[in-house]
Amino acid sequence: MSADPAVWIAAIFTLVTFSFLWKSNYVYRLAEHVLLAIATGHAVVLGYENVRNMGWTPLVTKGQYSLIIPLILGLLLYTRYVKSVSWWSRIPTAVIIGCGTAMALRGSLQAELLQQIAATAFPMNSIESWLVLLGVAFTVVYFIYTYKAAGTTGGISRIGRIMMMIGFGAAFGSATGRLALVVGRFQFLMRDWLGIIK
Amino acid sequence: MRSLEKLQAIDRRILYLLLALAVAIPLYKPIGLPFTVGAEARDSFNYVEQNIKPGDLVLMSFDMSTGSLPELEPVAIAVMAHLAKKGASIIGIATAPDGPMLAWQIWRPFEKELPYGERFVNLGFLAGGESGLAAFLENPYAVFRQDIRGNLAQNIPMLKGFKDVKDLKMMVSINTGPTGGCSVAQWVRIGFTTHKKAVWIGLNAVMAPGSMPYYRSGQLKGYVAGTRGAGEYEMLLKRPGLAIAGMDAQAMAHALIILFIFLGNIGMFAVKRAKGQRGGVKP
Repeated sequence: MSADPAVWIAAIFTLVTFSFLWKSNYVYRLAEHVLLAIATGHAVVLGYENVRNMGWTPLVTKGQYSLIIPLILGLLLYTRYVKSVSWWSRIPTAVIIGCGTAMALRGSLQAELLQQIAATAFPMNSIESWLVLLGVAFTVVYFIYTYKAAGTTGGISRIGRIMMMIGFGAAFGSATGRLALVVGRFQFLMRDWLGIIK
Repeated sequence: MRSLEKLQAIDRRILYLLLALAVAIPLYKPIGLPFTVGAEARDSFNYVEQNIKPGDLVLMSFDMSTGSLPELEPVAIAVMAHLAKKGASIIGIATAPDGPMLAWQIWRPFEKELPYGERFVNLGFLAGGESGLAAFLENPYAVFRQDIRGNLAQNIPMLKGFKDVKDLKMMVSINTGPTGGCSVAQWVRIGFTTHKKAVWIGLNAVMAPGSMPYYRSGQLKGYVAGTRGAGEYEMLLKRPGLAIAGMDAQAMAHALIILFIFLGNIGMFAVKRAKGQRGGVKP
């Protein structure tokens, strides 16, 4: 069994968290609040260090005065707490969204549309490739709402729906991969804490 | 009939207890269930094996949260071991707040193979998501003036030859998903499409179906998903680790869940049949 206090704390919190599976209780809620408090504290320190190292210190010690712009924009975000000037916070928000959109647009068309279309359509050298191509085409037909799907189009639309169901099933199947988190916790408890496995 | 009805209403605590046993017993006494290596893990392994040469600089981003550590740690350890074996130097960053701390944890066992400052550096948290990543790749020292230990980045020996993205051989992201930092799509957009660099992703199993198209289209050179993917990689690397050790437990837990789903459905159909109802929802 481990003699490390940190391992003991982690093990106790793991067991306390598992106690929720029996029913919600005081110690579980305490563990939940501790986790939130640690995460918040960590984020605040990280944010403070980022602003200090990348903004304030170079501005003050190296005279990089252009950094005053992002610092002011950052401060403007807090104006939302003052009703009379709360609209000022929209300025940095607009800058953030504008930069993010510009960044995303730069590669989106190529990465998420053109190359995906090309990969869907080519090479047509296996049953799998044909299944992917037809599956995509039939699913697209399902989402054509401009006229009522009937006859052949209705049949294709139904196949598209089945394709989506298969896709959702596969997505659910991969969600069971979350069990790895349980396995990981058990490995920690049995190896690092109790020392009963290698 | 009543016994079939009960299948739908098994006390969840019994299910949890069975699940705990299904996980704990194979961990304590491994069964050694066989598993095959898939094309994804093999391609990912081969890419590193054939393209990484001693002295190459690899960017490794720990875009992961603590909650996903049990699933992603084996992937991160496996690829780090492989890069260490191939003689690469690793520049560690993180677009998720927990990342820098987890990077230490993952690197610590490699302290001798990847000495700090010579073959590994932890630059810390990169704020700004996709915009931050783009800025870092084009002008790294404007974003990271120092590493997480406070050393001036430009004075770190292994960073002498690193001016911008052109000096990188490959980019690795150990990825929790968009909530944890830059998403797979963002890495593809910035790393592969914009800078034409090889992007290698280790990701949660739950994200695998959504990211598979990027691998199939050739936009990802590495695609290792979850514990299973990590186990396959460990097999190829001939370095059994956390993933292989947990494979039996995961397989037994999956088998149990499939059994629960099966029993629950038998109960549901039996009850509906008895009540004369039909299943399904009209579209």
